Amino acid sequence: MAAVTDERLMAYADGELPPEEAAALERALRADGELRRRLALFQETRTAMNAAFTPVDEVPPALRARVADMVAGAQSATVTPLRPRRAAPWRGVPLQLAASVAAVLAAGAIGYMVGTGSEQAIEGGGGLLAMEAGGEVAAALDTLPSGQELAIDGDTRLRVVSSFMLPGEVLCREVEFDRAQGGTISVLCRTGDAWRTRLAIAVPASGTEGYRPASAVPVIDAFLDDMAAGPALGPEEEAEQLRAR
Amino acid sequence: MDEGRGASSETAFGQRIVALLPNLRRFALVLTRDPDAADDLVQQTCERAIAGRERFDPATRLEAWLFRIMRNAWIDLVRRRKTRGAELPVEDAEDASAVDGRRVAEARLELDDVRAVVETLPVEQREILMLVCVEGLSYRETAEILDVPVGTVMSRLARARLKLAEKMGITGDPQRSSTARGEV
Repeated sequence: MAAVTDERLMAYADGELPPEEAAALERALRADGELRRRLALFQETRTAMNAAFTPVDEVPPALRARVADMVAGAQSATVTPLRPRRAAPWRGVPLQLAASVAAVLAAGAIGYMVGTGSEQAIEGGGGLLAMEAGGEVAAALDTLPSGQELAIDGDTRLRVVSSFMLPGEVLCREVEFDRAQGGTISVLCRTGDAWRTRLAIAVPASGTEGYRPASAVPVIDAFLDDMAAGPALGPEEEAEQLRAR
Repeated sequence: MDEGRGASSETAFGQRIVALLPNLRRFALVLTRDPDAADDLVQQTCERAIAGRERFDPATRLEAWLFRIMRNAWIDLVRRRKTRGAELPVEDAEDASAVDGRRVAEARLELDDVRAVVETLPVEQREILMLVCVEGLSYRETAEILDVPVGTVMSRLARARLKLAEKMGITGDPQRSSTARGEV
């Protein structure tokens, strides 16, 4: 009989083997002490994990209350916001985005700008934002893989977070600009040769910890949902989209 | 209160989410290794779950669906987190710096320190240990959450458990296994 693999023993320990295979393995186990020892190893690790994690820590009351409110809010809502399939032209701020932005502004942590499609420059974020991204930024967006950083303008750091597609084969990228006095999280989309800002959120400077405020995330998510954005592109797909002009 | 269509099923759905908060937070803590980040992740997961409620297939287990949402949300958070130098990979290397050697040796004797040892494992091993051995998900359910074949789940899980056994001094030998307290 071929040597029994670790995966097989483990599957048996976890009850994942079909009955006939389990019976066959049991016969082998009866005859082989070393096999029994290896099985025990898998059984004991599972037991240890279970014993260590099963007394579950109490959920902080504040978190529980927030989720309970969320649940209650969902039940009484008269609108069920689902991901819209059409690429809606901007006519002001969509409902879902407005709600989450209002929540964020109430928290007082960040400001926001939303691209309305006009040609005006957007102020804020230390003057970093303009409807069409300048040469250095555009070049970076055309080439930089997600996750990489670039210093621009001397004191500004640009970091590309992810790429994704909007309906109509529009390539967009989520970007962070960081300066000592503050930065932005932005979404820029490429139409023709130009990268245009569709969303920009001013955030505090990241400092040394490098953490983004969690309150920014739902705003971005709501924006992406409203725009029917696809999932973040993997590295190969992203490289392909960047190459295509 | 029954104004909306299907309001009672929405109530039940919401209640089930609230009931699963301890499990969600437990998994979030293992992913993030930080209580504040974990709470944020739980909240975000619940938001996405409630917003995407229509996508849940009631024939499948709610826990598995929620863990999948949480894991994807966590991957998004990691993508946004700035790191010095190279991008922080989802499957990071073993965190040798987090635990000093003597503490790991002592961990061989204490079940309580299973948690500490798990914290030193690479995230791909931490999450799979939690999903299968603690949350009790099947290999297939876990494979769907992680977006990998079942075979990958099995090999990764086996490696993780062997690593855990090595660090905990578990040998499978009934006389000499270090899960008995007091032995060296």
